Amino acid sequence: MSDDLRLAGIRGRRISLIVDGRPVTAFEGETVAGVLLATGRITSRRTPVREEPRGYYCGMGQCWDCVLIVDGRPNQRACMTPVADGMRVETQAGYGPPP
Amino acid sequence: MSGEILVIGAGPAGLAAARTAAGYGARVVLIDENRQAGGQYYRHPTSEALRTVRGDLFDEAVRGADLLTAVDDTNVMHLSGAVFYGFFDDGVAAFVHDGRLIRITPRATVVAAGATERPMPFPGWTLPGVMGAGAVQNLLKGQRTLPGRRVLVTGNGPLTLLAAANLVRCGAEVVEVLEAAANRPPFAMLPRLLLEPEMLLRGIGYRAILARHRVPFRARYTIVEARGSNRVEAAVVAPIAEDGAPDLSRARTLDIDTVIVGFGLVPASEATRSMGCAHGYEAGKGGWIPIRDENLETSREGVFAAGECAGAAGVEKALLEGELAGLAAAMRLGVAAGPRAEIHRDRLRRRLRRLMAFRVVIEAIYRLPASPLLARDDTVICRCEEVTLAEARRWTAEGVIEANSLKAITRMSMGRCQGRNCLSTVAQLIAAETGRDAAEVPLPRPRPPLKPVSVGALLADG
Repeated sequence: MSDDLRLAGIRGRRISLIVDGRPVTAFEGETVAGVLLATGRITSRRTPVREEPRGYYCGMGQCWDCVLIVDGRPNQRACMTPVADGMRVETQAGYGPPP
Repeated sequence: MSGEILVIGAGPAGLAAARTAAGYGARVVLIDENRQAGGQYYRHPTSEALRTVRGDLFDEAVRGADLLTAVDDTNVMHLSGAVFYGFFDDGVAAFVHDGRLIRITPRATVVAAGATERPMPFPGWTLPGVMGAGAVQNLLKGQRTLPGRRVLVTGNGPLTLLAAANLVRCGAEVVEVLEAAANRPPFAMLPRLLLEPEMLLRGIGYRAILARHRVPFRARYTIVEARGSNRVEAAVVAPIAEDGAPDLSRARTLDIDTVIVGFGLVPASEATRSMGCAHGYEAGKGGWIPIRDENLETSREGVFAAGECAGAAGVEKALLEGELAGLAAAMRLGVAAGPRAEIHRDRLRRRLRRLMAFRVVIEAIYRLPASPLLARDDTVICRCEEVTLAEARRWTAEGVIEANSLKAITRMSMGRCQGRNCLSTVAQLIAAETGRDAAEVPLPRPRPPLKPVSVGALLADG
């Protein structure tokens, strides 16, 4: 586990996410933000106006900066979304695709 | 759905309120947006396995274990993933749960909404890799994951020190810890520190952890800029001069990959403000807080406020206030009465008075002569709507000096965070431009929904 930022220890059931088309290992109980940060993917989205990168900022669901696309639904908070096996996660541009 | 007491927020204050009221026989509906009870302080991993990872370092969940069982009380209906929607004049409270809008008419309400991080805009503060002290605590406590490898911790207040100590204990390389205040207790107040020896020792312990790992702790020092293209790669730091502004002639650049920013907390007053409760400004408690009587009842009858949302002053105060508010709500219903309830109430009030006498010293240690304005013209101060300091100042210069008007013109505070990350900056800016005190700059009244909810949930009105 030395190549990522997870603290050492046995983390339980291993599952797999698809992040921007690539498989990424995750563990049950983690959030999408936890997985992205652990694996060095710290940009969740680009903003609508200035197209600036944003990521995990408040970590408690109040700033909405870490929003991204989860299983096709845009504007989902990475810090509040628990991972699930096979979940598709995509970084978001602007407000994301219309539903 | 029936419930006599609605408790909003399942952190330390809300849990204590729910447990106490339920213990006296009241039926409680406890709502919270998170999947687990505990709030930020008692945050712990949802998975049993994850809880064992460096479980030795995080005893919050252990210390809170007893309190967390409040949700198992048969008198408590705990609804996780529930977002408070609003409180209406006919006494109806509404929240969204499980994709539906739910309405109840409680006989008493305890607001225990917690606090949010005080926004401190500086150039580069929106870069990925710059995050709050609470954010890193949740990453460590809830995810058992580090935010980066080389970390700068900067801010004002005890939570910043706690975050730095936890990072060090988890093995991150903390490059420096910067505290904006002078960080010295006034001499005359020293004896008061002994009122709460346990808390005093805890604070000393955090400093000892930094010292043992040779992490420099600098008082009267701050970040002035975060640099990087797609993520933070460096930070510029500087000492704070006598006038409260950073001395840029002595600025240094640090090579880091993560910045933790914690300039204290702002009470989450959105719910009580939206209910029309009277508020007062108390700088030492984080800003606008509901005015309460000695039973913690607000100016709106039957609405109590407890914990950080009624003055940011730590978990011990939140626990005591939660217990007192839960008791007072149960007394209002008549299920708690007589000498037993009165003795209980008087004991809590005495304990709170001693604690607040101690907190005065903590407030003095971390008091800033003036909150530094670190933003430059092109710094985004409203993260949601991407409004810069220059745009805001263009309008204040033209005489737009009320937060409500500035909001309407610039869209500041209209975004998804509903002003949680910009309103205190907006008020500070207006105060500076008009020579007023922050207490003289009223905030706009929040309107339902207090957090984004889906239209589908409103259509599924249950």
